[in-house]
Amino acid sequence: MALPTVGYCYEPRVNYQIQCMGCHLADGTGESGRVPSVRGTLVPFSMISEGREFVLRVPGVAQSPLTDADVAAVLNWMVRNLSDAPLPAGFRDYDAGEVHALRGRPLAQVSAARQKLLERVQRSDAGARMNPPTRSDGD
Amino acid sequence: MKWFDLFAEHTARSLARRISRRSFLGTVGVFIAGSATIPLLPVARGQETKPSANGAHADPAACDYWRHCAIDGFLCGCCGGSATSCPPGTDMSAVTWVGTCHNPSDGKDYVISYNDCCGKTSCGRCFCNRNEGDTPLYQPGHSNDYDWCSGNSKANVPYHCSTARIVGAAQ
Repeated sequence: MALPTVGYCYEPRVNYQIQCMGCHLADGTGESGRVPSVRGTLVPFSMISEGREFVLRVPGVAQSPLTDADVAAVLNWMVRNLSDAPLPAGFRDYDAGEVHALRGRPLAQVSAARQKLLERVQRSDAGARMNPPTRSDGD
Repeated sequence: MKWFDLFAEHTARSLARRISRRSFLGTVGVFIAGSATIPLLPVARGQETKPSANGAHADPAACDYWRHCAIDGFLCGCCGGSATSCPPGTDMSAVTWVGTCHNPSDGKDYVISYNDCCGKTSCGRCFCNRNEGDTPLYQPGHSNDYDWCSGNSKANVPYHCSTARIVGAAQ
């Protein structure tokens, strides 16, 4: 028994360790130039619809062996535990239905989509308040 | 003190009449044999150092060590490091392959991080390729055939060996 597939019921923190931590690292910082950090971007992205769509279509989410509900639980755990910024008051949790509707369409150009989204977030007032990172960490 | 002499003489003669020398030797023999069997009692055995009941499952230097269930590479314990540390002259990759293994000693599952040690040519000793849960390259999220050293901050450093570090209980 080596890997959880559908049927294993791990808590979101453990699912993050097994499914995400290998590349994004235990604290979500990733590796510059190769694996993007989630610490400064996941929360701002999760506050706008284009950002939520991006989050649910990145390779790690779209191709994850986790169920839709488990993906939603991991993301909700991440925004609360792996983010530099505190959770804004208007944050809406991810749910299985939202995950299901979007993860079936994986992004082809992840870096380009991420860069575009970063610029969009930086332009918006909400993004300015949350002070997202100014550089792209690649894909 | 005469009464004491009489008492001792009477007792000794009485014993000599009733008990043979062979009986005495037999009693002592039983006592000695009995003493030798005391360590076999469960109470005594429970205090002994518990021998490894899991064999290779409990030996960090063995490929069959429980933490190595999903490993693919040379064991760092054979290369100057250990199951949790890199040999001198190598750096541990941050980006890595993660799996879960069952520990037969306590019956629990653990998340294991197989961080590679990078910076020297392949160790070449104790190759261990158990690959439980490994997926083909077309399912990249859980394929362990990547060279994790290529993702290190030092570009293109060679792979040396693999560790097997416990991240935490899988629950």
